[in-house]
Amino acid sequence: MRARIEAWAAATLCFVGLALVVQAYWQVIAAPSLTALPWDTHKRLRAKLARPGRVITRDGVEILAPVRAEGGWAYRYGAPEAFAHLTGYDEQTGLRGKFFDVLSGEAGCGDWRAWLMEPVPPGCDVVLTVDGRAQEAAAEALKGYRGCVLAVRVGDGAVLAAASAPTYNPLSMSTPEEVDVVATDPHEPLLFRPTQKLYAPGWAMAWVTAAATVETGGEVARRRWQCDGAWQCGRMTVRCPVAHGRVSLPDALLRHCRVAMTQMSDALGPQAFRNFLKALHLLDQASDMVLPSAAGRMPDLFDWRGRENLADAVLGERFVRLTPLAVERFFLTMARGGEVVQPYLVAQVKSPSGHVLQVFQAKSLGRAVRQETAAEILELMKAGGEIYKSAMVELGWSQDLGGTGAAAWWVPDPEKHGLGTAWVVGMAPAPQPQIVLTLVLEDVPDEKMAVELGMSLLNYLGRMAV
Amino acid sequence: MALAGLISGLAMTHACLVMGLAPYHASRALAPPAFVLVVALALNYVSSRRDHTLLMPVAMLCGLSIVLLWRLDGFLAAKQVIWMAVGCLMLLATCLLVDDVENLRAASSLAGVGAVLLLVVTMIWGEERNGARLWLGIPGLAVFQPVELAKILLVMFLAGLLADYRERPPRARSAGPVLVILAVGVGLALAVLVAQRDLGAAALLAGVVLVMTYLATEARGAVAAAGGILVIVILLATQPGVLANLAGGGVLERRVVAWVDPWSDPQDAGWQAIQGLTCLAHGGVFGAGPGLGAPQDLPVAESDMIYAVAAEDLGFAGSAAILLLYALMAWRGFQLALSARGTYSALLAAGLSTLLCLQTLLIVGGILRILPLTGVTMPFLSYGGSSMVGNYILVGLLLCVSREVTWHNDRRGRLQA
Repeated sequence: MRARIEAWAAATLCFVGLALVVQAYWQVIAAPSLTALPWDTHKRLRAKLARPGRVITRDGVEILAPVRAEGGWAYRYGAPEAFAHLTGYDEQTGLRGKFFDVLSGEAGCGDWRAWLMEPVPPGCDVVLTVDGRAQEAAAEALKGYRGCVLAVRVGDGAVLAAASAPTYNPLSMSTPEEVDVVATDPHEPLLFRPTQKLYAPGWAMAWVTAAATVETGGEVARRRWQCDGAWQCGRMTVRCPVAHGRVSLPDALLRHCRVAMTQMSDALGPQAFRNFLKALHLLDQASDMVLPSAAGRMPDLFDWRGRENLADAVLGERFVRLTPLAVERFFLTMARGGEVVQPYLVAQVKSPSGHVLQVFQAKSLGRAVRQETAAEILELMKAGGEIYKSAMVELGWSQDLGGTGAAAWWVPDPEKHGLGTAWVVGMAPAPQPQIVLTLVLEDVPDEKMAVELGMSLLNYLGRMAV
Repeated sequence: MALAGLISGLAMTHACLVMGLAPYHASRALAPPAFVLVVALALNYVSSRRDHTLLMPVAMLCGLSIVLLWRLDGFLAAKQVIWMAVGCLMLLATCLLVDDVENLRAASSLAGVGAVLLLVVTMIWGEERNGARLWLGIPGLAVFQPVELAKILLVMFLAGLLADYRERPPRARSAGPVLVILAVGVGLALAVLVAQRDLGAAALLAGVVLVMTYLATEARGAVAAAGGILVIVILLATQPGVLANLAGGGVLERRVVAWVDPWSDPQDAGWQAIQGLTCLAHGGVFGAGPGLGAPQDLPVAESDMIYAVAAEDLGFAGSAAILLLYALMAWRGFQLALSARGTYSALLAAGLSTLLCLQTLLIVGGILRILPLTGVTMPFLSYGGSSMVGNYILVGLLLCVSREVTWHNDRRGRLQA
């Protein structure tokens, strides 16, 4: 019996050894693949134990700050509604989701002092490029409307304000039922309109066509076009409210001549137009914008309706859809002398003791147009500010700042809706633009209110920039 | 013992700091080592002749149990402290009442009847929880798991029966009794499987019967055959059919699916296994730290899956140390079996050590996917009053055997001197 007891004890010890080997496999070798499983909830649950990092604006406004809560830590929101789309309402949305590892300390804060002082390594701070006051001003301006504001600094492509309306209060999104109520709201308050909503860009696309024409140069750019009030483009008739007569490119832009712009694009051809759109990255998703974004939509310029589709593309109507960010990026490209950059929202990641751990900057996507072309487009925009009551409007810059801009109001079906989407794109100050602002208002009867709001915001931001 | 208390206290202090709890809560983690210390002192007062190693791992495991349970549910931890106190009293009572282990031999038949009665009563009147009928309620008092006591009674019964068999002259040893024991053992395990729908208890009871029969007899072939039959029947029960319907209608099938390929049904059948493995993965080599894991989504983390919780908090290093504590207890138990003078004492020590080993390895093997996951508690670590009290009684019996061994060793030493 003794031998059998010894054998059994040895077998038991062997099983313990086997268990240890298998455990080492799961805990060391297979651990990376296990922690990457979609069913792994540990990271999010553990995050509650660590003091999370803050999210702060460039001017030091704490839009997310950690506070002690039952069972760990929670977040306090500063100006929750103005920053709701940026912060998100839980660990899976907004910057809270995108920078979860950084904020929760999972990514490692690289700061031994903080690690030493606190039992759980604390999270790092995320510093935004957004200006707290500008963001609050933009959110305030949009109150009562549906639309968005996006303001980007020309010098470095930093986003200064990115507001979307209607917004929501992240503090009232603590239960799935509350989230459901907001998620099913027909006004889509969860949508971050600057990067996610696709709008018909309207006359903003005429500026793209103008840039393409100037960049191509040659006969198309110099030629004068005949507008008789209507022009047959394939099977589609392009109409202007009045017959503009013989118009040049600047005239066509300033007098909002749809016929001339369509003729211009027809002469330019679909291939050149498409190449230009590609160089501008106009239809691309904004992958570096941190927050979710949508890609633009354009009908096929080479199918059997190619000519009509090209006309639609030039006029920014029917099936053409762009995000406000894409339109903003085009005007930013012109303001930067032809270089396309991807605006960025997060400036830095800082350790809990304030050391800069990571610095972000705008990603250059290459040169889309020559510097001369960009300068000429800017000059055209400045000139456009002198005409009111067409699509181009006088933005009424304050004397000391100056400014320039373009506005458009596009109604998908005037008889049916009577309301349309108003765009205002402006730059300030005019002599040397430092800020580019895009404002979109949905379902408004005309562009006046958008112009007023855009003007006041641009003045505010322009003063800040100066 | 003092070392055990110190380690538990330090661990709990760290957990308190991390979880932001008031320091006075640390007293609860110090309670188990304190209880065991009191028991040790009481035993020393009566007689110092006993194994002095056996209680140390018990104290450490109990202290760790409180640390782990507290981070899961403070209420459970508080209840566990009470069960530990009751367990310590039972251990003390066992040691004081059982003056000589050989005296228990006379009651082995009674133990067998008691074990069967407890199981039968549970099969008929047991309460069903999580698909298994393991609980028995005493109206107005409490609910408990009779199988925790039944398995100890079964070991006592088998030790008596097999000791009688071994003490017969070799010629008088026929294969008949062995076959009867094996048949009854396998039958009992299957009855538990069918009536109680508990694979863990069935595997534990069958394992104890097979191992003790193997240890006491030369019938290796019969033991292997019985084990083989049991495995085949259990495998058949995992397939759709009459057996599967008898054995819980899909419960076993789900266990096997969760074992073979948990990723085929990650949200349901495989959820527990996957969450257990992710706990291990997050533990890494040195763990997240006491109280810093995140086992909130791990089903039955407080009992069946407590080892996964420990592996996340303490890492591979800490959980390996836990396994080594069990190995230490088993080693001491088998040492006692080897040193015991009487056949009954030896078989009792070997059976109880086997019970401790099987219970630990079944659940650890299940968590590590070496075996199918079964609802077996981890001795001294998992939450559960019946399990805690039962295991303290088990250690009490081992201490009784050790007292006898030490007495004989001392006597031999004196005679040699």
